[in-house]
Amino acid sequence: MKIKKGYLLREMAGGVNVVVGVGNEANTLKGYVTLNDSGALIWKVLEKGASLQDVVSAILSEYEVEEEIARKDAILVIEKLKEIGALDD
Amino acid sequence: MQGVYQIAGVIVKLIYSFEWTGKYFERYAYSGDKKEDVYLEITDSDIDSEDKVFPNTPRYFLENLAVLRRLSRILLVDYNALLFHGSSIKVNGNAYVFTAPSGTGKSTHTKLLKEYLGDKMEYINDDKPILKVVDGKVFVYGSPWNGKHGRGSNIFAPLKAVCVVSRGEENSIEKIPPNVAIKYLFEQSLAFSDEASANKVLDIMALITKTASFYLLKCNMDISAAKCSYEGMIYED
Repeated sequence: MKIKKGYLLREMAGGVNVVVGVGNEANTLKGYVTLNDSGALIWKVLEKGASLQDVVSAILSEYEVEEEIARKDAILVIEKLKEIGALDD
Repeated sequence: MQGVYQIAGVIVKLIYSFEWTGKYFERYAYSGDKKEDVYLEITDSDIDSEDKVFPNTPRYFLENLAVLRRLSRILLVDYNALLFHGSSIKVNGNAYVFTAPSGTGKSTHTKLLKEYLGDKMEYINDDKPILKVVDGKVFVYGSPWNGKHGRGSNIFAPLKAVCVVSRGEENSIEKIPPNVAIKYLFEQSLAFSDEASANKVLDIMALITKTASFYLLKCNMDISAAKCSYEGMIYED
């Protein structure tokens, strides 16, 4: 999986990260989701292209959590990003 | 035809075809001797592309929309200045922006504030103020696009707070965290159609969330609504 071109992430106040999709003519957003810190980490891994297992490994190397929880978190964020069309399969 | 204007502190030389455009921007005319920062020529093809988006609209009006589209992108990408949808006022030297989807009652509310505050309040812009970053601070500037009542002038002030307006039977105001306000900020931003613009919008929004305060106002159309937002947001000891 990889983040598609035209989707951008930016950190706002309070550690909230915003993902937006740009590039349609009506000057409106293609999509908009917010991610927490671990979501932003997942984004960074997916920007380079990664499998679910790569994402889980990245979470495990950054946070002290059970693999099962890391996997759940990864899937949740991936689903969020898919909803706004930010991910290539 | 041509004119020179100062918009959000940027000197713009505009080449246009319809007299109405000159009239529309008249209040923003610049008569100083500095050279223009921006040279903007509106062509027939700019007007044609607006016609595709807004069919059956008179061409003089399409020219205005073309200026809005092209200039807002230049201001954003080259001058860190974002055209925003909201009604903005200046009180005690600070700027407050009231935002909400069209028809919610932003203008009605700032009109009530004007009645309540009188000369203590100035309109910056009633529809599309410009949020501009200067030296790491966000300022609110007037723009020529000042809404159907023509309220506003070519002034600016540092942004103090953004207030999301919603309708309510009773009046109440509460402070909200930036992550709640973000949704409204994005919904009411203009010019989001390419990556360079979007990056700038995100930069400006990030700075706004880190430097301004945010409020959610529920209000009716009574003058007591103005008292509520004044006492809850604007008044300081």
